[in-house]
Amino acid sequence: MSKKTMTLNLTEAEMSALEALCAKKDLSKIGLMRQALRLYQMIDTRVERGGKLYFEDDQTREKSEIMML
Amino acid sequence: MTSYSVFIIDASSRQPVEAELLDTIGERQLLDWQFQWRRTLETYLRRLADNGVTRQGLNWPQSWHWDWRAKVDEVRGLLGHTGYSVICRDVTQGMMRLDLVSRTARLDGQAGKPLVYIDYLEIAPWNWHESYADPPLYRGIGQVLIRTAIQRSFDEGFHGRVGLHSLPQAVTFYEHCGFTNLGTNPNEYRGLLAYFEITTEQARAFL
Repeated sequence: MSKKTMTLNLTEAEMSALEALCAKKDLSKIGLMRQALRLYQMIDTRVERGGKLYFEDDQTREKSEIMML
Repeated sequence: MTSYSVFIIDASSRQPVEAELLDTIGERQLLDWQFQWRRTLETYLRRLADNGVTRQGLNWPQSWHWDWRAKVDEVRGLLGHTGYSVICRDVTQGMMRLDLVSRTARLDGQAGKPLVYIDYLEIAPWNWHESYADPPLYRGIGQVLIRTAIQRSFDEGFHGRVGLHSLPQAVTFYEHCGFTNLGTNPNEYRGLLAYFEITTEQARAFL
């Protein structure tokens, strides 16, 4: 599979968040960006099909909807 | 689409036979499912029904209603899903759909970390080793697909972690592959499907 290369400029805060997530998820920066794109695409597709995205509190069962922009 | 050479076992001669592993489930595979897998499955279901086995019976194949075309269409174009198929003698012998993004590991020591989740894995009915089935043509297809899922997990940087929910009839297979059985959860799949997961060490042992 042919691959394309891009340069990504991040702020200090963005890079810190990226590195923290990489450490937490045991992923490389490339791996984490790839997962983020897959997840964003999946959610966007599901929302476009009419689905809704919620977080549900495990204790109270209260749901809060996430709006996709 | 990429094709890899793999080996499965000819069940009658017990000799390895070369097969093709495709990193996709294409139209050709879906036609094989639609016109060949289902024909054999119908023969087996009729055989079971003739012997008084009902859909609720223990022997009734639990994947009998799987619609591979719908399963492929459902995730078409999504980067977080992929499929694999095993072809031998120009016929599809097994298929697997993977989810690379929406599940995380549960086992202590790897909980919360990404894994490859096997949405569906099935081998062609003529390869089933069941009392009501004809003698299987090939063996080892499930192992090839599990090895593929594990390898994909390493390639993705998920360190071999793989998870899945197993139909009750497939539990022994996944246990033999080295997966840990975390049991059923009443809030998932009506509490019917046990969750299995493999760690990096277990994955390396399997490979």
